Amino acid sequence: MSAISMLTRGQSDIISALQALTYNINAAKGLQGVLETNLGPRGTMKMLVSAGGDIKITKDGNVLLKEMQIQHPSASLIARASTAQDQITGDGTTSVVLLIGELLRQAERYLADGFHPRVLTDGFLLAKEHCIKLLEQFKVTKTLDHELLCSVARTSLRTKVHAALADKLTGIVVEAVQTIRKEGEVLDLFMIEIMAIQQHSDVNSRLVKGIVLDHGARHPEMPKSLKNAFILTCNVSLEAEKPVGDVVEQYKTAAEREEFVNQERKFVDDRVAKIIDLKRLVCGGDPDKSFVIVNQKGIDPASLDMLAAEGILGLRRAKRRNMERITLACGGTAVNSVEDLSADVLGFAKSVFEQSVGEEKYTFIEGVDNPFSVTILLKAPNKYTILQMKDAIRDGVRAVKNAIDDGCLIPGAGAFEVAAALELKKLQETIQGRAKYGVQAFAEALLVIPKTLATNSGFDTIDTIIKLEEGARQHVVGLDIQTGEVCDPVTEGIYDNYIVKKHFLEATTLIASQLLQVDEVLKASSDKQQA
Amino acid sequence: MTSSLLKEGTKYLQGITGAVIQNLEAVQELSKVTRTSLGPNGMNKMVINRHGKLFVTNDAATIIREIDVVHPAARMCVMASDQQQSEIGDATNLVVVLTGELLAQAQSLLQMGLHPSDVIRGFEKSGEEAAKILDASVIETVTEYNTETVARCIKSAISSKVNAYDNLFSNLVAQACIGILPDDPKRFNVDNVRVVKVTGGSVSDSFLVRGAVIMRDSEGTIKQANNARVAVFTHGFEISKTDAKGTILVEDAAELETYNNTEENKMEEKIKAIADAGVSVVVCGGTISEMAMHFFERYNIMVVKTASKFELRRICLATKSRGSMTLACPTAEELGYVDSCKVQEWGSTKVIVFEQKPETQCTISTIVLRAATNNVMDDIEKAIEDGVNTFKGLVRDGRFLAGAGAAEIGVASKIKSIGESTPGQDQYAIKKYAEAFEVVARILSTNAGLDSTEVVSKLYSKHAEGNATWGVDIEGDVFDAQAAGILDHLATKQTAIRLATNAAVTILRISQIIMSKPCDVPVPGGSPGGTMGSMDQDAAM
Repeated sequence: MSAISMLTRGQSDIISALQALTYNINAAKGLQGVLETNLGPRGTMKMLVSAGGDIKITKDGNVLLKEMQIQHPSASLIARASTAQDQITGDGTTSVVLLIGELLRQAERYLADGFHPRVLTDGFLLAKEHCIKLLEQFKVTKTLDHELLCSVARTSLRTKVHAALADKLTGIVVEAVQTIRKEGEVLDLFMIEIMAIQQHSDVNSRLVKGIVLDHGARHPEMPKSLKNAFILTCNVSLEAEKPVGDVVEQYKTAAEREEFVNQERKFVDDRVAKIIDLKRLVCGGDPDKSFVIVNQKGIDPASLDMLAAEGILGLRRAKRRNMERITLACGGTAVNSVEDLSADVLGFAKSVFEQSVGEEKYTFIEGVDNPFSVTILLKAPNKYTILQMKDAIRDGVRAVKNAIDDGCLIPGAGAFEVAAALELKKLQETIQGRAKYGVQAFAEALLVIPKTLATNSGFDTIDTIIKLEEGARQHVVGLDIQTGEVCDPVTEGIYDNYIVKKHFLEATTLIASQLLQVDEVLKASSDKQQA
Repeated sequence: MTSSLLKEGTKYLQGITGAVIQNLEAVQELSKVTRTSLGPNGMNKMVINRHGKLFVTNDAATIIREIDVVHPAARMCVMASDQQQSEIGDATNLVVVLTGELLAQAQSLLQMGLHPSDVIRGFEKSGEEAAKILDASVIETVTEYNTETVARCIKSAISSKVNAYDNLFSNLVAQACIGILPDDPKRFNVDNVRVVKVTGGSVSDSFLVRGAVIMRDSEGTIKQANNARVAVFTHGFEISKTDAKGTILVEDAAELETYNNTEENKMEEKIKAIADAGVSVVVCGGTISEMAMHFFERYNIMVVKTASKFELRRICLATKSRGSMTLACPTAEELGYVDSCKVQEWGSTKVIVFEQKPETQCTISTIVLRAATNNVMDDIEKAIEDGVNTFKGLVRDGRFLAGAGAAEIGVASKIKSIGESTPGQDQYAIKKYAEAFEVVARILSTNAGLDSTEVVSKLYSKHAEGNATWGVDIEGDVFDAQAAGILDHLATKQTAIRLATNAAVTILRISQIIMSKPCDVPVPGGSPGGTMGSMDQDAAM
């Protein structure tokens, strides 16, 4: 094909000039084709079946891109850019893919007319700058009350799960974020734990202001339900351990041997006794008070026995991450040695109880005064719903966090895209030179968002765009996906995140420009082919 | 174009004809497999699983688990039925059959040109209505637990598995459950009704033991103990060991002998203490040393060994004892009591029976199942499980519906009328949803060799006259199910309907399928490309 083939080993693929562009554009359009039915609350679900036969059902663009193994290099470039969007902002993945696809589709028309790609990308850049300026004017700065946060979360969640579930999760998500929010500190979303139980139906999910641990007591005599519990969080081994180093114990009679055995045991028993002492101290003889120990290390059966005899609930081998959460949720501090035991290190919860679901056991620590860590308890009849909900919760929580961080919102339902397209068309008239065509293409491409929303909701694309554009000349309008008419996203409570939109514009322009500026695709032969 | 983006071997299906209809058909195929097994006249399936194990059963949960369903949509239906099994433990077949039927109805709607979202909306609406209708059609609420009432309530669950012996087993299960009912009935634990299968004899020889049965012989020569105190040790009965390396320090032969003597004395001391506490049965969770055995024999103590932690726990429950960690003599609270503990020989199987008299409180009961072959016993065991699960449902919520397809026809006729008064596109889906509920009556009558259309139309007219408890009589024609004493548990039915609706709706929501190339997992015990593999395929697709 060209001289380059002489430079490389084996048979490498080389695609150049217009062919390379077509190659890239097709990839972008193909990916757009896969993802476009996802967009919006009325987008449809995709079923992903992994090589092992596991099922995932989703309409979350991010999940989809991650799970479907994309081989096409340009397509995977776009996919990576979109997942980056998700990592940074938690939403807008599908929109990124759609806009990149559409930008390239628009570009294709001009390229066919003999435009140089560089001319178009200059225009894209100009358009993007203008859009970002417009975004600043477009944003709505209001006090972020509960209702407004709910609107943001709902807008995000409705695009991931079905409406009834989305509404249920909205309340949970917003409450979760508000609970862990400390004034003046950066939100730490890791303080929201998600725990899934395969049981009942998805709308039975709830927010637990406290902790749910996915294991229970390992001793049948331990109490299953406690009220007013003091909680000791510790990282102390309550197991008989082999002595360090080579120790040889010598004895002459069985009694001596027995003595050794007892001594070895005593080492652990003393620790347990200290904990029991503390329990007696704080609970006194009060039957309404109880004691729970959550240990990161093990508790051996003999120690469990001792604890059970005292009516103490002992949980062993708790996860590292949960230890931190427990102290945040119920107060107290985690101790590393029984020497540090005192009433001050204890946390407190009104209710601690164990629940078994099939073979699994769960321990709920609830009713805490000032929780800075919460658990979202998901219930669903099957694995794929749980996965779907987990992904959705993640995005919902992020949407709320973004809103709090940004301090402002953008009216949703395609309102911004329609308004921006109109503005760009006006701008285009004032631009001198060839860049204007790039701006024009960008303006057209932006409309892909409302267009796809309309298609997915079963409305006529052209009619909808005309209605929207006419409406947008007067004020901010979005698409009502139920009726196909224009609506005011502000009164409907449909809001997008500022950062999502901003990043969406930046990412799409960058990737689309990069892909357009490729004039040669060189693909080395894989090692496999050589072998 | 899209497929070229993806990794080689990936399947990409899209659109109504490509993805949706294909999914619907797969689920219908699956439900065709199980539907002939529904009800008392249901047929058995012979299933040979991937490991070559043979099952002859009419239990839907087993059938669909063992045929290894691969089609993703059909797998979702299997998951729904699994969930029913774990939540309720009965009516798994209803979930599969209903999902299949709902999707068959949906398919006709989609082919008519209705949009899937309209079908979904209609189905969801009807699903909620169905739950309400069932709530309103309760005919009996059980609050008292006597053998006669309970046996009647669980009979339909059992008769759908073992029709011939339904009276025997519904009575056995009822007695077993009531016998161990805790003070707070809601804490009833299904695991405390055990089934022990002993080959030989005939099914009608099966009986109930108040207590635990262990399928092994006792250790020593003592084979029986009455009115016995029981000590349970969670570990083996051996000389204790130090964690660190222990070395016996001997300087001459005399010292060695003294050492051995001290060991023996120590052991005797321990066992004597146990014997002095009045213990005549010792249960150990591990090995028992020869020396210990010797002293046990000398002190006339019966010794039972079990390797299973769970079995040990059950003995504790049966004798009200507490497992002791250390080998010291158990305290008074730790000791248990059993009215009779003896080794028996059933067929050629030796078993140890811990049995309590009716007046002694007991938290575990065991149904001893006798039959000629393992397959029969497996099937009856499942029937017993279903019965016990129904009892669990009963103590939680004692509401019952008329069985024999009566409740389903009731739902069908009421939802149909709701559909007729609903404006908009979803009315078609609502009506079709109602029609899907006829399937139960249809299958019951087909499996009984009756003309299903005739039976269903008769039932509709009966229900229209206000006889809402009429169902299919498998002996022929229709009858009043309430009068015949055929009852279905409300919560079981509601959960089954909810799960089936949920599965159907989820499958309908899918518009695209992306399947990665399945990795070739070698099938243990059989060639993957052989006849077995293709049979799996047939059944699953």
